Amino acid sequence: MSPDPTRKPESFELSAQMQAECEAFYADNFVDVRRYARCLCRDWHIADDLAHDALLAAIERWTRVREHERPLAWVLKTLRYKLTRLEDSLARRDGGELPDLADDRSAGLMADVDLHLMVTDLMQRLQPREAQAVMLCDWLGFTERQAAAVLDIALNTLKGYKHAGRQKLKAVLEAAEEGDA
Amino acid sequence: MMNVDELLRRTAEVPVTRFDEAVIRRNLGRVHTLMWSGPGSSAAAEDELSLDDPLRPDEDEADRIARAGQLIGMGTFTWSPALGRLAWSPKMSEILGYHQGFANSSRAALVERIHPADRDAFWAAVEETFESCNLQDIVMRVVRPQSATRYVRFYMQVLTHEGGAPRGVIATAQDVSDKVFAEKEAERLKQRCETILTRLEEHDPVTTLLNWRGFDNEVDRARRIGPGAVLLLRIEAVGGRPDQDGPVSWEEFMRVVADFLRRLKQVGDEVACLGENEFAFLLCGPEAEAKAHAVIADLDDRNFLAGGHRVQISVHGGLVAFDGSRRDRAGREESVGGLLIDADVALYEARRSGRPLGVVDPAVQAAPGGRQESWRARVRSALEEGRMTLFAQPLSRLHDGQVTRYELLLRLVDGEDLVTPAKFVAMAESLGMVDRVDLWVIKEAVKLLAHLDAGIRLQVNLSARSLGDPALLAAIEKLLEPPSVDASRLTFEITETAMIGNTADTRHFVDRLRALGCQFALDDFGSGYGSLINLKSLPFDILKIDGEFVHDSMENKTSRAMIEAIVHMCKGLGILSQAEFVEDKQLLTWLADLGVDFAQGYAVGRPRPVEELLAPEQSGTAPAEGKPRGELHQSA
Repeated sequence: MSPDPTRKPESFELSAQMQAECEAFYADNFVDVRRYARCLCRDWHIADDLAHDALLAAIERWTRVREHERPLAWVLKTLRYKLTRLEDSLARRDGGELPDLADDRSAGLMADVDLHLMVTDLMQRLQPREAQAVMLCDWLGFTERQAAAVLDIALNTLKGYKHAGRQKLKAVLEAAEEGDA
Repeated sequence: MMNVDELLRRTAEVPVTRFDEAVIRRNLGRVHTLMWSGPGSSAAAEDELSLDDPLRPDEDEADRIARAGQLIGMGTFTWSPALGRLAWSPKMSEILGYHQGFANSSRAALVERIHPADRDAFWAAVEETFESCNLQDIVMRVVRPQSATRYVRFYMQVLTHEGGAPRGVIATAQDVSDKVFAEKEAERLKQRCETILTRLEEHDPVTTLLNWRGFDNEVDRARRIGPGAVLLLRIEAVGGRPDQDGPVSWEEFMRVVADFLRRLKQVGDEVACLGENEFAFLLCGPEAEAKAHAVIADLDDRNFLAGGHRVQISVHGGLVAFDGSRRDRAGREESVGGLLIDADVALYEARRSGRPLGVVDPAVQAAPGGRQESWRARVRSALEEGRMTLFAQPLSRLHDGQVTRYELLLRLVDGEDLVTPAKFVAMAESLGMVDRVDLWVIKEAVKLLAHLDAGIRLQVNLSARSLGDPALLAAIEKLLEPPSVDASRLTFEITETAMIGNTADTRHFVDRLRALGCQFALDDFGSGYGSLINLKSLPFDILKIDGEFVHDSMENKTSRAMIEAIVHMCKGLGILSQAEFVEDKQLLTWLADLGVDFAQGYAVGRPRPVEELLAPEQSGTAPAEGKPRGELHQSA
């Protein structure tokens, strides 16, 4: 059913207290959501837009989403859907993919001491689902079962991605160590 | 050493920066304006999103994945080996081409819709997923009713019991045909661009080195970047030109030399084949002259092994340097043609004086007119002294094997050498003297026709610069005035490139001469940037398929496809087709079967001096006119 264009989002009617709750949720989670997006999408402008849009979608449905066990899970899942739709529309248009800035960014990797930048770059060397599995479980504190639910995959599959992702990260760190030596 | 856990833990603990805080404040300001102070979000149409909590603990894994798939338009099927049951979602019915209410989901019904060539691999992937507990991500073809084939991506995962033992397989399926087709199209366009821009245009078919055009482009590019030099080489076999009848063919000799030159080429330099026995190096960098001396030293008195025989060579070179300022040493804009002329003059003088390498003196190069004046004098004297000559190459009419046409090929007799037309005409064009050369060729052709059998036609080339020249047109019309020869026996060959930007003049030129009965052939079709509209708008009688397509067509599927298409088009337009570079009998037979009208190349006959056309009995190499195809091949 198509949405009623005259209907305002439910959050429009939120009380001042609820608005404050929304703002706090946004402020508490924006950086994590943006990190997640940046690890998935190599164009940071698109990633930042996706992060904001996903959080905005949660605010618009806040009366329902706030009841969830971890509202952040819904936001991350929403972000993933939005990214999938974007990639599909690009692929249908010209067979292309999202802009890949990996080379530009890796050139600055060694010079940049920011830990987030470094980890984001490392994550981008993994398959997207491997990176998400590692991020959800080892960075954002989700259990494996919860991470599988966020990613819409089977538990066994999640474990496989997480293991593969960690192995690759380990190999990259060891290689960097040898390079330094 | 930092391990993975420590790295991720430390990353998670990094506090929010002041910059991040500023971004959050700005974004929240926008949210506030949009959501609570303004008209509401314009992006509120995310109604497709499920509002259910993704972390509901009581949900079955298979149901959760199926529901997620449904949400984003994917089909799903689950397979339970223990129960022997396979079930799928309504969306899966749609992907497989069953009607929405189809209720008889089964392994057989699923596999039936997989493309026969993919079926075994498909089901093996399902079983592999279950047995190894590893996921499979594969694209298979699905054949729907009415033979509509779609590409479907199956993402297969194992479902496990609480203890981790496998209990089944769940697969999500997505129709990715649009993406696959887009990728195939992108790949096709990439391949086509590469083929058109590099293979067809700029390479010599025998040696596969750059040809004149390709070398011209490379020199033009290099001289805009920095200093360098052009080294023109004449490399000949001691004892005379290798011949098809001898132990080593000319083609073998050229290929062997070309392979050796490739090995001498350094990074950033280029090597080209500009004509018979003529090669050129583009040497980049300030040490170009030293490189040139090294090349000459490597080649001097060298023996090559070609076709199992030792061939000794002699080499002479002409070297001209250029700087990176786009201007010559006199401050004038430096043309690539001018550089090549200078290098050729230096080569010519080196040969005359018995030195291996001639180097252009910068002072002479900078003088008004410079060494180009020398070439102008050579063209002029060639015309005046009758040192231009014509060779005739036969064309076989393929439906009966008769030779009914000859193409006249220009040569300049320069000392003991025959200078090939590519170079000679380029020089004459560069010097603005090509109209005189063209008129001389046409006069000779008319004289020849008067002495040849009435069934023989001659084809002559018109250069790009002559096309549309009113003075030349008037001269030709005067030559063909009755009671001169039948004008219908004269065919003018025009290259595609000659017509670019000159269509109105070309049309007038062509119309006037066709009114007299002359025919026109579009030469080198397919190698230039010509448009098919030329075939519709200009009244060509003949289309010559470029040798680039023909010479490798027995091995190259793309070339065969191009030739077939061109021949089909010619038949539709009522244009005769001619194939160049036909070098063997198998190719000749294939072209005849295809319906090509004429063939030209070594399999039909090599170019011979025109005198042999007039006196075949004396020369012993009679033109193959009137001979059946088998004898024709023997004579070739």
